[in-house]
Amino acid sequence: MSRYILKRLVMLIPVLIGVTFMVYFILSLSPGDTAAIIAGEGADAQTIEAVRKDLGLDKPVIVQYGKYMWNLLHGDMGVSYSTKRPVFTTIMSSFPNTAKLAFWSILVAIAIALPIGIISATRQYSAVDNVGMVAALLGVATPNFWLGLMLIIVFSLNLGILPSGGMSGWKSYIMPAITLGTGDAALICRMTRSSMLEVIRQDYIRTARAKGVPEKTVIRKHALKNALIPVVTVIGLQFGSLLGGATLTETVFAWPGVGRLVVDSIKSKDAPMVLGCIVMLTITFSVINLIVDLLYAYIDPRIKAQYKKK
Amino acid sequence: MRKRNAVRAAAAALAATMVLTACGGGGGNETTAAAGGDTGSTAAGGDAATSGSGEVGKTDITFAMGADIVTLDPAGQQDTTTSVIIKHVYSTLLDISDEGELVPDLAESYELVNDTDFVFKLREDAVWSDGTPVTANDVKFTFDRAKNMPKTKSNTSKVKEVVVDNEHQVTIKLTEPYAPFKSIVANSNLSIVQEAAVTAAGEAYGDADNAVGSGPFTVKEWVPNDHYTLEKNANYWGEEPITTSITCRVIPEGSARAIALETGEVDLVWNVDPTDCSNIEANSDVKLLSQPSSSIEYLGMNVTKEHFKDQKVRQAINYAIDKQALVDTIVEGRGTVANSYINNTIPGWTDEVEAYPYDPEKAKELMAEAGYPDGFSCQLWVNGDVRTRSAQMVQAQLAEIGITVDISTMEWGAFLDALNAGEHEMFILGWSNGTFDADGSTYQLFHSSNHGATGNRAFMTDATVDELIMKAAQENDDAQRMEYYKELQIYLHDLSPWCPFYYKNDNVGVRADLQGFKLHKGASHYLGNCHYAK
Repeated sequence: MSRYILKRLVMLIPVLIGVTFMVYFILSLSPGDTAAIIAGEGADAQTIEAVRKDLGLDKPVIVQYGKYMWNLLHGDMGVSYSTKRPVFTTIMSSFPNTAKLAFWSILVAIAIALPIGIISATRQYSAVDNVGMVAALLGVATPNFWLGLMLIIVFSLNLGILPSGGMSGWKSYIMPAITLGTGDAALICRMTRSSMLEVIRQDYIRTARAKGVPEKTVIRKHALKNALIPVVTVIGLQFGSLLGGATLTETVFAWPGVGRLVVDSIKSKDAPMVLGCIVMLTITFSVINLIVDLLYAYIDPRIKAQYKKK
Repeated sequence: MRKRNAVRAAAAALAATMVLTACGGGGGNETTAAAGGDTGSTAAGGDAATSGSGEVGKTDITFAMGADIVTLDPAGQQDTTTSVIIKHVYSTLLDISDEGELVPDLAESYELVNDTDFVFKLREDAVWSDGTPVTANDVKFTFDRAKNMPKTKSNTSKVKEVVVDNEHQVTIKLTEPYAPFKSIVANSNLSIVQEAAVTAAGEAYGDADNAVGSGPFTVKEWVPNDHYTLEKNANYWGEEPITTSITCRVIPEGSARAIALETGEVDLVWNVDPTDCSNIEANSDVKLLSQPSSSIEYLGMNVTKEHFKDQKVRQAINYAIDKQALVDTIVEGRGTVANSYINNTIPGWTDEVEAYPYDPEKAKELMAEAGYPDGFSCQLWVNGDVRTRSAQMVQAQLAEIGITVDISTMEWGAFLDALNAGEHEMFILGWSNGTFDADGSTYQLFHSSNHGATGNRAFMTDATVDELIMKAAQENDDAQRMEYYKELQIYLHDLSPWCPFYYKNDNVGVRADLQGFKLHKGASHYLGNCHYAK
């Protein structure tokens, strides 16, 4: 097992190289002159050239990339072009905010999605199922910045019970978490339903029912546990992408998260900052995936047995 | 990406586009450069101020801005968002008052001893927030440093050397007579920095823990992308502020910013989006203060391109565009049709030219005279949601005189790149005069040495324009200078490298009971007197 974990962590290295390489080149190909943006309005050609040299942007892209990776290997993410602050500390001031929001959002999503998904599956084509599935469809289709603004209008402006934005105390988590959570809930809900439906039709469920196991136990112990694997995968993936920051939601709620940081950095062509964020996200995403895979082993004894054989 | 469809529908759809603009719009949109800068596409008229009287109650003020500051190093910034905090934390030699007048700040007086040498006499009681005196050495250090920093280089390009006469007096020698210099020293990016603090911090200078200023406030904390807090500087040598602490919250989304004001979470919001202005006006708990700013919105034409070489075509376009319609629609009436190329808030502006009236018939005649009776096709490049809407109106109006306009919306960086390279035919942009001197509305924009990135994106090369700009810049007699600017504006008006749209209003939303706030003509509002009555 520990060998497996180690193997997966080592696999991260080529992934990181691939991702950073791609991002670096896409950034360098995108229009807009970094040196001109950094030099600011009204700078003459001489000043722009001086900035270019200062930042090392006069060298070939591959050389710049090599230098970046070399520093990264030594744990140095560099300093932001625009703010001159160390990239690592800047990311570390935003990332925890995103992580906290991601945690509450996924919790909201699970709390909504699992019960509805299960009920929809066990009572397929009932009113509950239909309403649930239409709601899920709406959940997926609602743009979260719109939902966010509507929540702000109702709960902050009209009712005055929640802060409209910012990160101050538990109350400020409610609307962003609901905004993000509902979109994900819809997806998880549909996944739970279809996975449950598949399991419920299996022979062992019929056997369990035939031998007189109470319906509740059939659903909880026999069906749900087996149906959870794809659901856990989806939850893991959703959580991973939430950790990448939700730019629109963060913008609407003035949440100081990593999503806004990435987008602002892309706009100002702040390559070290963009790359720093991407490296960070790649690592967290990979680690979450690993955790999800490890979770399978606990949910499904068959998978655990496979590990043991090796 | 082309947008030809007309916009504006339900509130939700509008809110949606605004969020998207906030996320995908221009990065450098709200820059006010050294002597001016291209501006973002938001803003919208009226006039007001909140007056203070009676007993003082709450004095900790929170305001909201759309973007975070970039640094606390004056020389490292030139955007309006950052210059606000710099103005509260640092002092400049001279300052621009709320009314747009040049007033003393660190320098109690200045004198032009000959054509090129300015002598600044510093206040002897001025001290840094750490209690040590502000000296002539700090001033020299500031200017010497500024000459080597990218964002201050253009402001100090005419500085030959700074001589310390004594502890409280400096002489700044210029390379040539340059009248706008006295306004330029009021620019926030030439705020005086403390030699000791900058030297000690080195490259890292500009963070909350190492920034030392001599302004009315000090920085207590700065949480990037979230908020920063300023506290009253106990050692401030000037008039003591009433406000004890100022917190700025970064709220990127325009509607969310307006709502935060309406709910009372913040006391003030700057740069209210035109679409949110009416909401603020409709709510009696809050009010909208709006006054003409030093920003102009315009359609630029590349005079080196085939169709636009002809002055008659450019004039025809000026006649064909209904500027009042743009004011009414794009900024919902919060702006004034621009009659000239210099803002009406800036000394040197003339009322002797009139905006080209909306006259499609006259436009068609001019087109026929120019040899285009059936019109032609051309490109119009824009950035951002608001300017795209302006572009759509222009497209519809120019269609009436036979000009088929193809609109391309671009991302800010790509847009500037393309304009700087001179690949464009027409473009829509804004310009904000940061120095409050007419030079800041002319030299960078129309002098032939400034083609492209430096600001002359109409790629104009005209000997008369160059000569008038230089004569005005080098003339130390103010009355004569203003004559030159008048002449220049009349000439430019006829030449028509642009179709000036409108002078933008500066819109600030405040709580109705907030006292002591006054709009600054240059949008560099001072919050040190904001408070509530008991």
